[in-house]
Amino acid sequence: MSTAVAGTSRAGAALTLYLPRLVGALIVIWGAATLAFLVLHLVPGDPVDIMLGVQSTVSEQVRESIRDELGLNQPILQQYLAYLGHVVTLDFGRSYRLQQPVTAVIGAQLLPTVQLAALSIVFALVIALAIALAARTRVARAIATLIELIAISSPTFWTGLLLLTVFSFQLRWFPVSGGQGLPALVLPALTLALPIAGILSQVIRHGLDGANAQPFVDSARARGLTFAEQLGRHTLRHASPPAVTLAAYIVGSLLGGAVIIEQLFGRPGIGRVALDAINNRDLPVVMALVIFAAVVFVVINLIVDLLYPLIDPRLRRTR
Amino acid sequence: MTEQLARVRNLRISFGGTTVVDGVSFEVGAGECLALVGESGSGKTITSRALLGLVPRSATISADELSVAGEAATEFDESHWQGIRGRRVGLVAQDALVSLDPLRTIGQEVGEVLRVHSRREKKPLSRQELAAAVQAELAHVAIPQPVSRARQYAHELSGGLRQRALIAAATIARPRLLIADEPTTALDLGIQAQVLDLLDTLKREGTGLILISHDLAVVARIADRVAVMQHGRIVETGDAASVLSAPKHEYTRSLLAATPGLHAKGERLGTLPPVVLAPAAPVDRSSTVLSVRGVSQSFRQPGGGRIQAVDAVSFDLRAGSTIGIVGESGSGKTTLGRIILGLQKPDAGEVLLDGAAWSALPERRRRERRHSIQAVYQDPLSSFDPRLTVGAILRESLALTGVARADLKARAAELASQVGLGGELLARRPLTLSGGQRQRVAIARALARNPRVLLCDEPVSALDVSIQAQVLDLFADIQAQLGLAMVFISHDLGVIHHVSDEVLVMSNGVVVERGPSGDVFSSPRHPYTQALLSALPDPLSTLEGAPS
Repeated sequence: MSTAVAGTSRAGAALTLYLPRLVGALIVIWGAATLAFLVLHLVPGDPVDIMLGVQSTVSEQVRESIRDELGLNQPILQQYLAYLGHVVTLDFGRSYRLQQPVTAVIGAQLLPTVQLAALSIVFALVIALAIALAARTRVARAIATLIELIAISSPTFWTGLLLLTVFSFQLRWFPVSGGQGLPALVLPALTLALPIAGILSQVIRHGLDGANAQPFVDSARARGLTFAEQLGRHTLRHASPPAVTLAAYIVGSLLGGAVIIEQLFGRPGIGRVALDAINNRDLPVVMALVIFAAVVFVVINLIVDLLYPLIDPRLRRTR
Repeated sequence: MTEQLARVRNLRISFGGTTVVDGVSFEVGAGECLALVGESGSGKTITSRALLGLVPRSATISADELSVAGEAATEFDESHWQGIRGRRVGLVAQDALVSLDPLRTIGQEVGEVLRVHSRREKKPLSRQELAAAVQAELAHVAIPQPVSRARQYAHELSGGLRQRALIAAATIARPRLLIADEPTTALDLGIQAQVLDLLDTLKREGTGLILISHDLAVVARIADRVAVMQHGRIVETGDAASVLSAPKHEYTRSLLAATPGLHAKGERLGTLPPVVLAPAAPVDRSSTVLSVRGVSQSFRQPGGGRIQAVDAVSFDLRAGSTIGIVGESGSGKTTLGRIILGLQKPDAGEVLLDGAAWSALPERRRRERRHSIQAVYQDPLSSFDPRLTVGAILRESLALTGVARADLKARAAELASQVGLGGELLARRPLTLSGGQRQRVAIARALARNPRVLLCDEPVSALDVSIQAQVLDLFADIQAQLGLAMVFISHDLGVIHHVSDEVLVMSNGVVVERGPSGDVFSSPRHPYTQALLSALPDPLSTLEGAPS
């Protein structure tokens, strides 16, 4: 009985802890949707002109019918409310160019990008950990710093071309382009992972240094733990919160990087869709992507918030 | 002859060209406690680490003999050491809050030695066996409710329980030799006594104990033999009773002499001559400078509800006298100090300065009289701008007091010499100074404002005993010559007894006992004061009962 009482009070505490964040997340998404709407409607000029481009020679009659179809002749507030209604029901309209529902366009291209991002994160983590853990002596540390710096500062289009030249054209280990199978995924994911690995490695290395200077590491060593045991049982966990904090940055660079990588390696994906939509003024797709990006960031940040107390019990405030 | 657990002959450790341990020899047997005593930098900690193979890689180490658990440790490689650490030799470090991994439960931390070593010895324990062993060990160190405590984290335990858990983490694999490095330094007096009792019990059960401490009183309580270290050498060694009651070496004598609890009040503790200050104007020593009238303060607690930090405290303080406020951590003494400084508005009651309103004033009107109350804290370093030199720090305060620009430099030098700082230190930055020098800078900065009241919150708690003696002497000189009123906050009964004319004993925000310093310490009436005093490890009283 007492456990049941404790259970409900814990659930209540969790609710009071996470409800504000959930509300905050919804406000951020609403803000992104509103901003996308404002950019389209409040900038000077006719949205239809923006859509069709300056040089278009479409007759006024056709323009009027487009306005009608999009509801652009209604009062702005009414347009806004209708737009919000569509966003809530995930109805982003039809792509001008592809003549398909926007959700279908994005949905079809989501998987390749998710695969690319997932493998990139795995690569980045493995590379970052390898560098951070190898940098134990002074010489190794200097080399690690150099590698990190190069990884962070090299532009992805350049690293991508370099990797293509070496591994595809010369060694012929991986296909040059295309979206099929794991081999085609390796080089793009590696290109996307390198700058992230550089930053992650710096953060993990710094975190490990900080943890190793703590007295509890002396205690652990005095218990007879090997270096690997110290890492696994103590220090890596202490080094991880700053790396987790970077998650939002990493997701941002994955989304932004996908645009370049997918173009460079001729892969399908969200980045490609975004680039095409922007080039062709396919506004429904662009707006849907803005909201999509906002949702991704909000979800990642929510997950990060939930992870902190799992890593550090001192942050658990359930009483 | 008891079994030898560790034997060291002619141990030398150096970093680059600097020798930190210079020919140290000692041995420890089963059921015996050897105390390594010395001030910071004496090499006592690194000496003990040599028995664990935990001397930093950058150090050069050599010894004619270094044997641990009957084996020649000079031949050990890293993996051999890993088998020794925790299993044969255990380490109890100073502050359990940081010496236990804050991200892991007490049960995980206590069980770790056993888990790691049983796996290394190819006899891995099951989860149930491990949990049972952890609970048994927590019970062994007298932690109540071991099952639920094992699931908690270090920050959720009280200081005493935490330190016991740290000891349990070292003793669970039953090492014959235990190194306790300042095991009670971070603890309140009452808890300190309990932890010492626990270590004493372990010793009686047959564990050999190397106790590292700067505190002779702690040492006197459980050590069988004492080795006094200075500059990397053992300057005096012998059985505890004779070293502490009849010290032969000058350094041991000066350490004992510097301990405030063993002195008549008013006697100088250190060996430095008194400083000479220039009083601005004669002070009327009968005037009341500071009045605290029924001051109360409560805080919202994180878990809901309120905690009464200070509860209806009153006292008057005359010029040239000192009131000592003593209590354990959480007793409300620091909150009271903040209210006196006017940094915190009390819920009820008021503080008067020179008979005029002080705590009740708005900050804007308090500012012009702020110079009248100056504060000295435990850690002066954090109150200095690290980029300023000592000279700049003093000039800043003097300029605020209205000293003319042209005179600033000369006045700063004068002030520094008055608190015993050499003129060459004026160009240095606080980070490069020793703890005692920093505290002198803090005192000089306070004096620069010509205060009427000096509030000192644990000003000597972070200092070695000989430095503490010098700083306490400095306070006495300042007070005798300038007629300052002093509020002296400390958890250290010996220090409070030495400096105070009147004493307030605080517990949970309430003044449980007050009176002239001599009366409170010689005939305490309140049970709390009696308990505090009985927990005070007094070297002489302990030694009187010791067999010689």
